[in-house]
Amino acid sequence: MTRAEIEAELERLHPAAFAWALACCGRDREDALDVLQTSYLKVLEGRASFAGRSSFKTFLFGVIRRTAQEARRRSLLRRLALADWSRKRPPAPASPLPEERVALLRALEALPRRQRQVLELVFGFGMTVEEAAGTLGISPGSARVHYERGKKRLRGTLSHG
Amino acid sequence: MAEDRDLERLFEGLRRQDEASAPRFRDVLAGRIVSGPRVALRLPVLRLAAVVVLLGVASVMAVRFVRRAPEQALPEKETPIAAWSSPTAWLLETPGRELLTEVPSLLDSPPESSSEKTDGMRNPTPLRKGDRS
Repeated sequence: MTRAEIEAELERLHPAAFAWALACCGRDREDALDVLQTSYLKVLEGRASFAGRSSFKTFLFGVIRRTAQEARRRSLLRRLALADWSRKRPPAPASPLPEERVALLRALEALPRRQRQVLELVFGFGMTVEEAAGTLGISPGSARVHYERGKKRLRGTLSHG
Repeated sequence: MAEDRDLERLFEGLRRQDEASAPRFRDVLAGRIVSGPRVALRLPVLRLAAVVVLLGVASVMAVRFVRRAPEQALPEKETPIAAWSSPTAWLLETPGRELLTEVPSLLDSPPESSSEKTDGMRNPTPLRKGDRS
């Protein structure tokens, strides 16, 4: 793929990529934008190259997930090194949230990260469990276990909440 | 399956709202809205904090080193513990203390000095006639 083609593909997937970056960054908009820009630059500069083994969307979502993970690790180290705890802030919603959305976000927060990510990829972004496994860098069997357990817990939380 | 569809609907709504709030692709790529000011403001503060902390640690260590240095230069004389005695031990040494710790043996002959004294007392040399006057 040429740079122009990659850029066009990134632009097409941009809204979904932003939503996925938000999911990877605990709904922190600023962090999500940082992660997204870094991911785009990685792809465009060839630091993350698309080999064509999966769809471009799966590849891009994998890059975003890894970049968010690196950012989280760096942020944790920085806070440990400089005791910069004040930076932790609650994500500020731009508009009042509908009740259903709040309930879903709370239920998702209660899930382990892997389960949450598999569910978001499958239900939110229409991926198959195998594609979600590819994005998360885990085996399809492991992804299926996360999917089933996560779904069960999420339903339990939503029905009780 | 009906429950799956319900979850799909919920997640779909969440994603649509997130997507609707996405900034323009070009702006994200150019970093125009990507926390430029936040990074610019935070970095000097962090650097300054790091420098202050490092200077503080260095000065504390320097002061400690300078204070300890003369003590370390003079090695202390090592005294074996068996030879140690209290600085006020002399206060316990009362006159006649040896009488309590040393018991004389009966089989031993009396010391010469004391026999001389007693002999002198019991058998005084006879006075001569001229001495009485």
